[in-house]
Amino acid sequence: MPEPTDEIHLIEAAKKNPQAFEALYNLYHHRIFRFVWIKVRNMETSADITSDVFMKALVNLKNYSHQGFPFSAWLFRLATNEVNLYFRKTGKEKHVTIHPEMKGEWDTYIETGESRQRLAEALENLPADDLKLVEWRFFDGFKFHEIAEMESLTEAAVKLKVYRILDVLKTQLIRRG
Amino acid sequence: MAKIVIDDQTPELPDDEVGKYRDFSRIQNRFQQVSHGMRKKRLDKVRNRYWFLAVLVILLMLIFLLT
Repeated sequence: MPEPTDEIHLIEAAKKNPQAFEALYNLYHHRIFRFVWIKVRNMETSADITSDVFMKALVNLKNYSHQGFPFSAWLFRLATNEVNLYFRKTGKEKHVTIHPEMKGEWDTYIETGESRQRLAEALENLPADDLKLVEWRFFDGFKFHEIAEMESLTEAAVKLKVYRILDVLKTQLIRRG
Repeated sequence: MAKIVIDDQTPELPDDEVGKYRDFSRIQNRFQQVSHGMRKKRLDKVRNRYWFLAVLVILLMLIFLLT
């Protein structure tokens, strides 16, 4: 991970000269590729989506202003939008895996294939913004402060939102179960 | 809304394969095309505006001369 000051210098350099964006590209390519691939599970498609993410980042870089959050937060937000756009366009299945650190939270809901199916259906019915938060936290394993950075919110606000969504989800699952 | 499939485990991403897809020149070429397109669009917009103004002035002059 680069020091925040180094990152700011790299961003400022890339704003003046697009060629300088290569340093940021090399720094984050693997993480963004992996983030996309976990959901898409296809190397070629992941490469295309990752390329779109960096392309959009470069085009919109002049509008980017550093507000104390890491540059990666902005990239992950762009990547999430691109992945969601891909699934909306193609209608393909989105693969998710409950993050190992989050398993405890979901143990009772993923015991069997049937209960896992119910959870998947409940997730599909969530509003897009709520689903995004649940995915970031429980499937991608982002920390609350990282989600707060991606959403430009406070950590407390994110925690509140996520646990409210979780309550709704659990109530739905209990009702269905 | 996409159909969600909850898997037991995340399969391993072949790390050495990812490197094959790291190609900044691809991003750079696309960026050049996009920025060229954006510049052209901006120029066209200005050009169209001047044409519109020129036609408007000519029309006003014709009306003025004919009345």
